[in-house]
Amino acid sequence: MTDKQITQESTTSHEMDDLVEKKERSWKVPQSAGIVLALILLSIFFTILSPVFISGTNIVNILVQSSMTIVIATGATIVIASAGIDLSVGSVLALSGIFMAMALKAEWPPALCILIGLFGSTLIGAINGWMVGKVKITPFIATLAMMSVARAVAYIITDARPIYGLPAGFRYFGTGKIGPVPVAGIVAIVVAAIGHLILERTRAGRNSLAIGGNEEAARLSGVNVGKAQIIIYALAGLTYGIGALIMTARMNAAEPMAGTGLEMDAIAAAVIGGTSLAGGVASVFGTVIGSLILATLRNGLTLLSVQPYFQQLTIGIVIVAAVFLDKIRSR
Amino acid sequence: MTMPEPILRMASITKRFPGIKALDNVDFSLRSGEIHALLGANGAGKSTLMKILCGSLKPDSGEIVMEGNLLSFDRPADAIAAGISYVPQELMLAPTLSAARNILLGQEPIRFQMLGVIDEKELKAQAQEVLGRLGMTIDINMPVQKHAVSTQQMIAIATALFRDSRILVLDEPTSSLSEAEIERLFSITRKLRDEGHAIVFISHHLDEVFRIADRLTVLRDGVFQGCFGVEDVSHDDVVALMVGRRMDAAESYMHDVQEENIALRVRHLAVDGVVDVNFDVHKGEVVGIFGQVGSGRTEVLRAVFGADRPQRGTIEINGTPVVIRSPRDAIRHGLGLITEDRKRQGLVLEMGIADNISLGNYLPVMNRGLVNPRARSHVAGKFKKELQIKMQGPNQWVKFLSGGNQQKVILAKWLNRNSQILLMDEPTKGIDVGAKQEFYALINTLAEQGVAILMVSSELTEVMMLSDRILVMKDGRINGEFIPESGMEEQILAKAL
Repeated sequence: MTDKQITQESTTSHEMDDLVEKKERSWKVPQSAGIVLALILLSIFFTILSPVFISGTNIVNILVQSSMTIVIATGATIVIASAGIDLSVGSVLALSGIFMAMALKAEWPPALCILIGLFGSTLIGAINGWMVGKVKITPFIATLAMMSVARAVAYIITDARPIYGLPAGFRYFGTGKIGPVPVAGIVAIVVAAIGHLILERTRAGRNSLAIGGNEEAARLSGVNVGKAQIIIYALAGLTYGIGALIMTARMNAAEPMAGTGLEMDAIAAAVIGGTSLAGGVASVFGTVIGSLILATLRNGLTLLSVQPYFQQLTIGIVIVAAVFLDKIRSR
Repeated sequence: MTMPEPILRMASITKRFPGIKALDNVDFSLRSGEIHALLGANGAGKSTLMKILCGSLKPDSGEIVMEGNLLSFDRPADAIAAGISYVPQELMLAPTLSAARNILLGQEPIRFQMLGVIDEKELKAQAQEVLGRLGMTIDINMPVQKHAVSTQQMIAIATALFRDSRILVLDEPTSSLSEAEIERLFSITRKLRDEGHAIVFISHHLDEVFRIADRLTVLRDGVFQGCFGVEDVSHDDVVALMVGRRMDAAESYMHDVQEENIALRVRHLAVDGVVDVNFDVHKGEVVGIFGQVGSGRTEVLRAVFGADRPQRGTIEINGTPVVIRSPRDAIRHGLGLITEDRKRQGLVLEMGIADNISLGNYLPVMNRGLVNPRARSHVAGKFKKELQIKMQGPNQWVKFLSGGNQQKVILAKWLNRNSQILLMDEPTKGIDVGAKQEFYALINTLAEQGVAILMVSSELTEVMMLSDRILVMKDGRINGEFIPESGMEEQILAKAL
């Protein structure tokens, strides 16, 4: 007899319910223990190969480099929790940075400029959410379109030229320190903490997980799915604005090509951290670790003088490995 | 045509999972040319036993012997190769592929071996041949999802036949079928039996089991309770073995209906599948809707709840006309819906019990803008007690609960909202005998408290037992209205067919 490829497991059979085949722990949220261990092992690995890795300056470096990823990936996590995806991260970030920079150049008070940038990114996020939730366009297509539109607008309003020379006080957000701790790192941690709170303890977060877990059940239970989507993507937009703040402050410039490809980092960090692309399962803590892993990888490989393209290759492999391991663990 | 020698013997099968012993030294024997029913409540181990037989699970101890050969399966493909086919309740068909493609999936006739091009003509011919053996003529080119569920089931059985399986396991094959379709399934099953196949028939419906099976085996809590010829044992005996105690003869549940208070009034409702429907439900009344699959029952509930947009019709709640355009509107007016398919529409499986109970209704457990986990757990605890929900903790994912407990979580969700009008679509579908009784008592208690209940069910005994009034639906209309009394069964059934 020839070998059939269909597995006849009926995992949806109602009779399986009584029998807890999976071990107890799998009814808790993603196994962060695994990736923390991975992070530690990775760090040990790099330290052995390049002792300078573990130096104070380098660690601070890694934290700073990861802070932007942490911020935007937190937003991405909330979106992915709803079984959505946001490809417009990079473009919105660039546009938001440009708004901020233009306002700064016009010598408006810095606080106002930051608010303008944040407002802009949040508004764009809300538009994404509106497309997904009310017009019912699939998230992939809606945010793909926004990615192009936002990027185009960025080029148009800057005439394709970067905006340089921002006021000194502004740079504080990117490069400033409070004691030994970089301000960017503090911002990242605060954003992650709030993100975690939102996901676990607010209506918006619970709705996001419910929609990602079973949108129809959520709708039939009275969740206003359309409105919830707008809020979810708007929150994500807000985090992109904060990310723009950090990046623009660090580079002391806003350029229309900024952030290209950043959406991949955001999604990768979330996925490595255990957030499921199918929605319904998400962890901001995992995303933070995921971001740290990405930053550690890049940093370590650079210290070892690995060429940038090989770095990209390594990171790609790591992402696949992380998802693969996660699949095995949850069997 | 029963051979006394068993074609298959599963002996002393034991299987443990963390925390429970699913099967404890279970014996199961199967003869060729017989229909053998496997009975037991949810969690009794029927599904585990069959998964072991079909290669999805390995037993901890025990042996499987088929025609004198000791068998060991590492994966389902091995069982299929040995001649054992499993047709699950949820029908593992590829919905977008045609019937022909599904039947020969994995064994398609190939031309030009290297290129792997499928020989379409040969494929269709072979598919027709198998379907012909079952006495079926259907469109084999249409994607199977467009066929009626009963036809899809036939296609699934044809797939098993094509593999020349000696043993067929049918898991709850009748749950989505109408009476006529069940009869067709049964005649095909009998035909296969007469040709020498051995068929394992798993079902919750005892009356069907007694109609179709030659022998039956009962499991309870993983322990073998006995194997009997169907003529040698009574309905009540079997139920007693399944549940461990004798069930009281089904009595009617009685409660006061508030005649003056019309909780829900529906007039001229029309939607896809419903032509013109008018009815009232009073406070404290249980109105049962009985009818065949496809008569429009689910559509009526969904339209009233705003899950689907009605084309026409007016709804009055407590005397006031309301407009319901979405579930949120319905909920605001005090309605609740227990859907037919709890996994796909009623629950977020990978979320905790407390979260599912509070789904969309976080305000009561919020404190200063944030959900208070203690309050949420408290709510879960309250319903755990009230509804007797068996759970390991308020945050356990509902995925791991039994069907009956899942259904209770959904009920808790609506009770938490204090819904005064409950719409229930097949509320006891796929729930074991003991949990069903609990549910009946719950429904009755709710009616006594004044809740208006509109319940769709395809189990006539259940409908008659619980309802104050029965509406019979046929072809999108209400074909008859009855106040149930024993002896009316045939009249009611007649109106439905």
